[in-house]
Amino acid sequence: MTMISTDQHRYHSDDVPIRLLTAAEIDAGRNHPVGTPEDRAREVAEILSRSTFTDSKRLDRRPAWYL
Amino acid sequence: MEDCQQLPAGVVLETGLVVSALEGSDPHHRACSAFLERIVRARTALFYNDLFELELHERAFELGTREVRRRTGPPSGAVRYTNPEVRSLAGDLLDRWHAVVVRADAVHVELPNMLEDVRYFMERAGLSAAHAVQAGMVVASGADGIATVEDRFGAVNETLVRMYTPQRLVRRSRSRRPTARATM
Repeated sequence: MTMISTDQHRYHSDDVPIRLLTAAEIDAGRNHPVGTPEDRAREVAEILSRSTFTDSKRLDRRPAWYL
Repeated sequence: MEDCQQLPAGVVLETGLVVSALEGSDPHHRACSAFLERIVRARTALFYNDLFELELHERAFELGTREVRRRTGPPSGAVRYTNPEVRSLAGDLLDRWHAVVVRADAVHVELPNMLEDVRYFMERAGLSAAHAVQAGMVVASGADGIATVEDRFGAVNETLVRMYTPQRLVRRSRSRRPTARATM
């Protein structure tokens, strides 16, 4: 006999048969960022303000995984 | 998206939105990068999955190939993903994405947990397999919606999948809503 956990019966509704992710499944993939949201948002804005495809100097860089 | 007053507590990221945010020459760059910055500040949970990462990898190499082809001109022949310049450009885009994601309240979801259910969206809304996965993740994760530049998600009932999309795409997305199509 196969045991089915309670979580496997948690669907969105009868009409929309999408199984809901459990809190444990979500927590397992959760990133825990360091720093205040304001600082992180500022850093993200700076990262996004650069552009990969308009700076020819980046052609000389090799990513970490490059062999 | 630009004038969204109440930011979502959780949102699923679609690949195109992230590419638009990362690439300054993209027509939706300003809207998408500003939205991403705002939701990081708001501590919104950013859900993404393995398929998102694969698609981003593919887009990075496509864009890298296009850029190298543009720089070297047509006579250079085929530009392949193994080209060092292509790999360098693609790697830079992917590095920048990783730099963003480590600063966000991001949640990586493993697809096998939900794959068998997403056929619902393929059958009901006519989404492709890849789009159905992302729509299914909105429901499965309990996110408020999907942040996207892809109007096809408009084919899903908005009570299930709310779209956060640039203003200039709103009309096109709404025209795909089931009710809109029924009255056409």
